Amino acid sequence: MTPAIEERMGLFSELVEAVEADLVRIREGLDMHQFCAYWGAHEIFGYIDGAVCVVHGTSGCMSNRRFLLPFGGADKCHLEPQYTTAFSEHDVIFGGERKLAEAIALVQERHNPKLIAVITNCCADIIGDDVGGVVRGMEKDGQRIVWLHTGGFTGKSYRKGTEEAFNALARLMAEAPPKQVVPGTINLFPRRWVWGENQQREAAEGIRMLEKLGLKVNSILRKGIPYEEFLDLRTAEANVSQCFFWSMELFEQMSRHFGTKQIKASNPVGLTSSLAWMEATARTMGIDYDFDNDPEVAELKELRERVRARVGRGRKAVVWTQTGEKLVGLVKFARDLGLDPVAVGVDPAIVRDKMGMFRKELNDGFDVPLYLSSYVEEIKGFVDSLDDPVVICNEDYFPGRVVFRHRYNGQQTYGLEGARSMYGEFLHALDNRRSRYSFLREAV
Amino acid sequence: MDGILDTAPAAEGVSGPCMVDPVTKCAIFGIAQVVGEIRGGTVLVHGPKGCAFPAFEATHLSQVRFNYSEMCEKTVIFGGETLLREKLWETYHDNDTLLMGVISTCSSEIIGDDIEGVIASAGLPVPVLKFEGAGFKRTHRQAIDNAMAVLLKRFLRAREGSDGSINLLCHVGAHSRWKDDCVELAALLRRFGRPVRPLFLDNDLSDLAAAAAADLTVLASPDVGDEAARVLKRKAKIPYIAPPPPIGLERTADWLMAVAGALGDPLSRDEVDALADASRRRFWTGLGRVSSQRPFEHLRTARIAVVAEPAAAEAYAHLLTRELEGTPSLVIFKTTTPDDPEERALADKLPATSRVVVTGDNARIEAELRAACPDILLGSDLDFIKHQGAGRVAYVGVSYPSTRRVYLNPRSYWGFDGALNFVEDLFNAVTDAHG
Repeated sequence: MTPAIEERMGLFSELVEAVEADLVRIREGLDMHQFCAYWGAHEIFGYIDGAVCVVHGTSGCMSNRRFLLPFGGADKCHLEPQYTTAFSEHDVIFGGERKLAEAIALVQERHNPKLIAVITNCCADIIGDDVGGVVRGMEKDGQRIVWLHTGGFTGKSYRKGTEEAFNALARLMAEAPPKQVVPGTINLFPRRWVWGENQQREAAEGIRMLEKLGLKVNSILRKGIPYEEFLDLRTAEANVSQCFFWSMELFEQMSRHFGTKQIKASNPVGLTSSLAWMEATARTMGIDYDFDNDPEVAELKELRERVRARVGRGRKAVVWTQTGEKLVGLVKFARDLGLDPVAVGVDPAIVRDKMGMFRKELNDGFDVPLYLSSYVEEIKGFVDSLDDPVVICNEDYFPGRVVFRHRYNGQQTYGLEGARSMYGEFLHALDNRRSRYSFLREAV
Repeated sequence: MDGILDTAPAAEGVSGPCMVDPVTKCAIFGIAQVVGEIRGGTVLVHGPKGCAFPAFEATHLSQVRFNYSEMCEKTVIFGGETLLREKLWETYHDNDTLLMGVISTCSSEIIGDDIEGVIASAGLPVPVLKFEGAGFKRTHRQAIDNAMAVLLKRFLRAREGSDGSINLLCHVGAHSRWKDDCVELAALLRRFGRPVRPLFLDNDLSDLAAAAAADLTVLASPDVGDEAARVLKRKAKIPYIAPPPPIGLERTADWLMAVAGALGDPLSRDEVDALADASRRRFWTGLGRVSSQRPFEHLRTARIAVVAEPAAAEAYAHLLTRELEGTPSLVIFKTTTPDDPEERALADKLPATSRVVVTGDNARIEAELRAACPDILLGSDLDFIKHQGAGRVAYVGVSYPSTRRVYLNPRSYWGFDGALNFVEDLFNAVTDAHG
């Protein structure tokens, strides 16, 4: 390693602690997963069939929600009505409260939904429209209306909007007529940024793992969950998630209101983490499961040994992915395979945004060396300074190197089946360095 | 016009419809696309993180580099000018910037940040311009027009004579293949033996300056670039024309005649009709290789829906009706200005048997498509995906976004060659969907 590279090396824990102590002058990055608060809230309300979300503000914000379509992606949320009160200059000057009242009446007439969620964008928040005053008294029989301030100018992120939406929904659960908790049942929260067939696969694997432990799945938080079923999440004994940190606010609120147990294990990626996820679930639910005598686990251990043998000892892995759960998950996956990981491309702004998550991980003993840079050329230089490392990344800028390019939203990741699939892909990556002529290598 | 306007009269004191699922996007998206067509163009969005998204979406079709000023509650209360100054330099250094566009947002417009003052005091060594990006002021389409005008006002040099050229004012972002269309139109214009200067398609700033030497400006599409064309006329005395887009053989012939008329060129109708006939011959020669013409027969009886911005929707409806003998049963104009007299005039040109809907609301479009249940749909990917569950439909993308089919080589639907491309894609879509 050159002195210039060594100068930028550190530990993940050092960065987290420095950010925590406000010692880092943080510039927000352009991580495109860091949308506005309104977006995070809209996404959560969009899960629920029988809920209609109205964004009080300009139409431009609302149409941003469909940004994936031009890039060839589409999720259920893109197809739902995406209503906005379409602020004009007139509304910014004179206020949009009357429009909002009419919009709610129109939603009631058009959809008569069980739940109307009104969320705001910057315009409505800055001019101070009294959204609460408008919606008060507009609820019809059997209908609830909730509202949130989610303007992006507040600095609230997608994550914060998500949490506020979950908070609002937890209040609705608490206000619903009480129901008995059914012992031995559990709710499964799959990861959110996953869709299509892979979403089905990941959910099915989550169910299979829970059923392996002898548990009954009460409900799966999925896009299209009926409103009543969402409220009935509270009848489960516990909640578990494939990505704890996106669901933790609801877990927390359900724990407070209904005593629902929280399983904080997350990211069942690779065999070690998947077993840890199952063990934490079994422990919380008071189940004694003998993992050592599970033939499927034994078979996966054997497969993992084959991968480890192929990887060799002391080999470095450079992990370059979004700063968040995926980073933690892939670092642990690298260790699962006997690799010695170094994280790159970590964004301090996102560390700040996801501090709760990273603090928990550090408290649980997680740490990893860091090379502090987000620039492709520098990261390529760092990779070149190592002895035949494996690069674990989203985008392949590394011709001639062993590159394990893994995308959570398109490839099976979680649980025992996820481990099997990832081990297979990893072996393939080890034996098949990408051709310099491969179309799938990034062009710079 | 047997049209159905989507605008119930707004209640007193209320501006526009109280609620829509909007067909248009944020102004920032439009501006970023225009700046992205200038080499070295970078935009800095002066607003919160969510406002960077429209600029991100613009990267789908252009090379624009972007950043944002991290606006948060503190800057909304105390102003974000210091932050903006720092971000200007940071963005400049990070992006090999030759032109910087600072785009205001709803937040920065409402709090009244002095963006121009910051630009002046920052002293960047490249041109830096402010663009109004507040979504409550303009849609992305209106912003495209405005951004082109802002750039031309700044960079168009004084006219020092003619170089005989033609400016082609491109319909930036009008749909997913607009660049291919402009390449096709530039080729058509070169038939007049003059240099052609596509404006806002991969330009250097010097191209904008040199535009003052043209003899004529032609709008690629009449609904994009009017404000910019007026700048060219006012500052450089260049006349402009905005003929209907050359979609289909007849309209391409008309388009060439309109240009010839404006240039005083002696091109005759017989000459352009000969070009159209050459395309028709290629059509028939090409068909000789397939055993059946049933897809074209199917058009006569199929339920056809066209959903696009007014100029394009009318033009495709014209092509279908006049050149493929398939009259659309439903034509939807996607617009936020349904009372615009030009758009109403376009609606009047549609076949009397077509149901015409004028709306800026995707929810209305969805309801209309559900009711019409078309066999053939010309529209956007959103229209198609939303309608997919209703039955088999042959889909051709003519409105933004239409990226379900990827074309790595240029493939326009405009002009004589483009008409053949369109017919090919329509034929194949009908075959795939209906056998």
